[in-house]
Amino acid sequence: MTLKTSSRKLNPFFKMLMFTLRKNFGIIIVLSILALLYCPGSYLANYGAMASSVSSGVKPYEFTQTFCAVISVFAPIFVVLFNFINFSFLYKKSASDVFHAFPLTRAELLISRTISGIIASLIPIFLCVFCYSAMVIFNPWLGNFVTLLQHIAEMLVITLIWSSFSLIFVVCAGSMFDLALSFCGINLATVFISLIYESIIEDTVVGYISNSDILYNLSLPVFCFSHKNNLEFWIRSIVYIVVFTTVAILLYNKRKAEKGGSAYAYKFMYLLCSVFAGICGGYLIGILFNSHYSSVIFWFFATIGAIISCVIYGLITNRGFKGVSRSILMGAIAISTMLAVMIIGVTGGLGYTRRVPIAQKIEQVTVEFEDCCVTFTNPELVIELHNKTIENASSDIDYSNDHVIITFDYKFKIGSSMKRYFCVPREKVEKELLAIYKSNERYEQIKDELFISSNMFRYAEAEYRIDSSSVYRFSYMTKTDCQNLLDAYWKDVQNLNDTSFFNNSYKTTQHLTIDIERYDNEYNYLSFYVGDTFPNTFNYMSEMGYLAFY
Amino acid sequence: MITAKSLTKKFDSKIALDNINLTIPDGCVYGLVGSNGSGKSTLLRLISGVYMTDGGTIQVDDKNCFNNPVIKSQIAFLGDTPYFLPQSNLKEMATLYSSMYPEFDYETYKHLLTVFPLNPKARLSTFSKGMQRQAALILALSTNPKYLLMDEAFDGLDVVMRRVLANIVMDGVQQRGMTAIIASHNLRELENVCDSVCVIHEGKIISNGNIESLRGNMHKVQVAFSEVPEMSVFDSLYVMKTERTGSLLSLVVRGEEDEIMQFINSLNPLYAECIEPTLEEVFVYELEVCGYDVKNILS
Repeated sequence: MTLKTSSRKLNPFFKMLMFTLRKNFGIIIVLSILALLYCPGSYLANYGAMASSVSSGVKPYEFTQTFCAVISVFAPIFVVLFNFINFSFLYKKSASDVFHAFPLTRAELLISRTISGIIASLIPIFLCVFCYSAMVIFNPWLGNFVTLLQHIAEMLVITLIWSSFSLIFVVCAGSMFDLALSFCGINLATVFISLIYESIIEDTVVGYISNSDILYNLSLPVFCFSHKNNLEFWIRSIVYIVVFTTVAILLYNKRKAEKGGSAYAYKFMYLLCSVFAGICGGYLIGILFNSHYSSVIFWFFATIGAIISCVIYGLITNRGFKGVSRSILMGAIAISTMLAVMIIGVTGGLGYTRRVPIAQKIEQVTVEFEDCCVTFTNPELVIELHNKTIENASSDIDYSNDHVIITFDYKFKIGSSMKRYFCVPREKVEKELLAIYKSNERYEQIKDELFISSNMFRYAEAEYRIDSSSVYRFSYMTKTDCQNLLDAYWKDVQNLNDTSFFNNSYKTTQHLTIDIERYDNEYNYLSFYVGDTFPNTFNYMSEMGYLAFY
Repeated sequence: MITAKSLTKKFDSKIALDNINLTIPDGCVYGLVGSNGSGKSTLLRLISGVYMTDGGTIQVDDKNCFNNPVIKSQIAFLGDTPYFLPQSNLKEMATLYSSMYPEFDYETYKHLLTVFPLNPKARLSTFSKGMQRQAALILALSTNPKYLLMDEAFDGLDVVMRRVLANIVMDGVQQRGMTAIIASHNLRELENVCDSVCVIHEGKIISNGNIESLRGNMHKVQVAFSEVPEMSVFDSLYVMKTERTGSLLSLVVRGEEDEIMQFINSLNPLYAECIEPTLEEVFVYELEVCGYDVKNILS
């Protein structure tokens, strides 16, 4: 009985898979021709140019990376295309009747046609890879097999992510037009909305340091094509595939077949698209009139823009004016989400601004301001500075007045990290900054950065700039010169008080920059303010006779 | 056996089937009659597992139909609009059906190709409406279904093909114990085919039963008198409808034929004849008695 049951389950599933694959044969041929035009086609056409680029320093893995970057774009496009074609039956009543009456569960139907789509999309890609591999065998300068395998694995995962992600749209849509509209719209909108929210947060949340994390986390295209080939990428990719596929199956199991022909089988997709359209449209119209999020004019026109966008989207989706009032409501919701982000930002980003980590959880922290960048394993000094900074932080970044920009970069014992970026009146944190400036950790790090403890130290070059017209250069400093210069500098640092430290800041135009090179071609670059309150440093430079004016 | 219990199906706010209770026995030809939008096709799609219920249950052989491949493999559903894969021919469609339905029989397929003479290699999109329906019938019947569901089965078929189809269905019922459910808005189409008929109106069953029993005790009596008596004379009969044209009376009477005719003859008519009403007439009379606007229901 078990045998009979399993054979029933397997047969229609595989037969549907194979049948779909056979039906896709024509498109596979067309896409294969397209893929072969790229490789070997374009490679053979540009063979001479590529061969000559090797002599100018292009490495084999760079050719492979370019090749894989191209196929990594094509494979997801192909798989989405096949999913759209293979599930077009969902949008036609008569076709839906036939397919849903077949003795298959919905999950079997969904997965069999998806797998056939994946296979169909990979056939042209692997033909391409096969040709490229053959070319690499005969021309080893053209590629690197290790890089190729690594990127193919990445491409396969990206293809599976897009296949499973597009399935959600396939199941939720009610017509091919709305499927294409929602899929393209949401993927573009996630990039755009991430940038909008990033911009609002950056403008309103005190302490927020701009990075691409929001974009990377919220936008699937950015995640897939950022080529962050690390463990997190692989884990997240697998989670995405499992979650998207599960959601698609669950939605398909509950999908009402009679919805084929209407815009969407699930209302939430319409609402989501509408809100996304509202946010994008609202932002674009708002920013046309005023670029400040604190401005009423921005919000007034953003509201109008959001409502207009939602109404236009509603007109397209509802094929008429039916549901205009709901579109207006969606516009209001869209603008509310933007407002909510701004309000959260202005009020401290749900504790983001005021959060100071507990010392025991910190593995190390790097603090950076002006010419100082120090990493501490004992974070007491930094926490003191952080607390003082929060109390006095300005809501706007101020470069013109007596402000200092401080960056905190915490690494925690559990592996996570936290970054903050503040602008604060310098006089309010002078004492704490000076303590860090004079700290032993800073001395040790400068020493390390000068490679003084390294046997690989080759030479150093320095430049002392008093102002734009007075520049002194020092050539071929030895390790001892560097050590002496550092000792003289450090003596001056230890003599700094609040006032002299304040004057030896952005206010001075006097800089000492040192370039250090090692025997293994590693190099480093350091820069310090060395103003009038650094007599020992200046004396060392002149006494040793290095001063040569250009 | 197909059983519907409190079956409800909604399309957004519109109730397509409203709390239906129905039992369709095995080995019969069952007719579903109703006007457009009455819920016939919806009921067929629920039985075939295309639609999911919004309330109640629909079971085939005591098992739910939706998402149940074992049950669905015994059902062939022929929708009101035949669908074939783009650019396909009958041979390709037969390949698809044979891979999906374990009971698909190529012998039956070949036999049906002789009954419905179609070119299996010609593109189905080039076929006329009637030919496409024949092709869909070939595919459905080749699966040797235990349950054959046909929506507007005779639509697009000429008189000869209708008779051929009726014979094939009858054969299937008699030889294999197949159950055929035929939905139509035209009761006359089903009259000579169905054993039982169910009339659906606005998502509700308004009449359901075996044709013979429905017809059995209803008679249409045409009687002529030299002088038409008062209508109260017929009070002892269960007269459902009376029509008078001059001295000719048409009575629809429920009861035993012998007793009715004995009573009529006792009134010394010039002419009296008892004829069997058509199925449509039976329903018209039944439903008018119940207060339905019959012309709307049996269009």
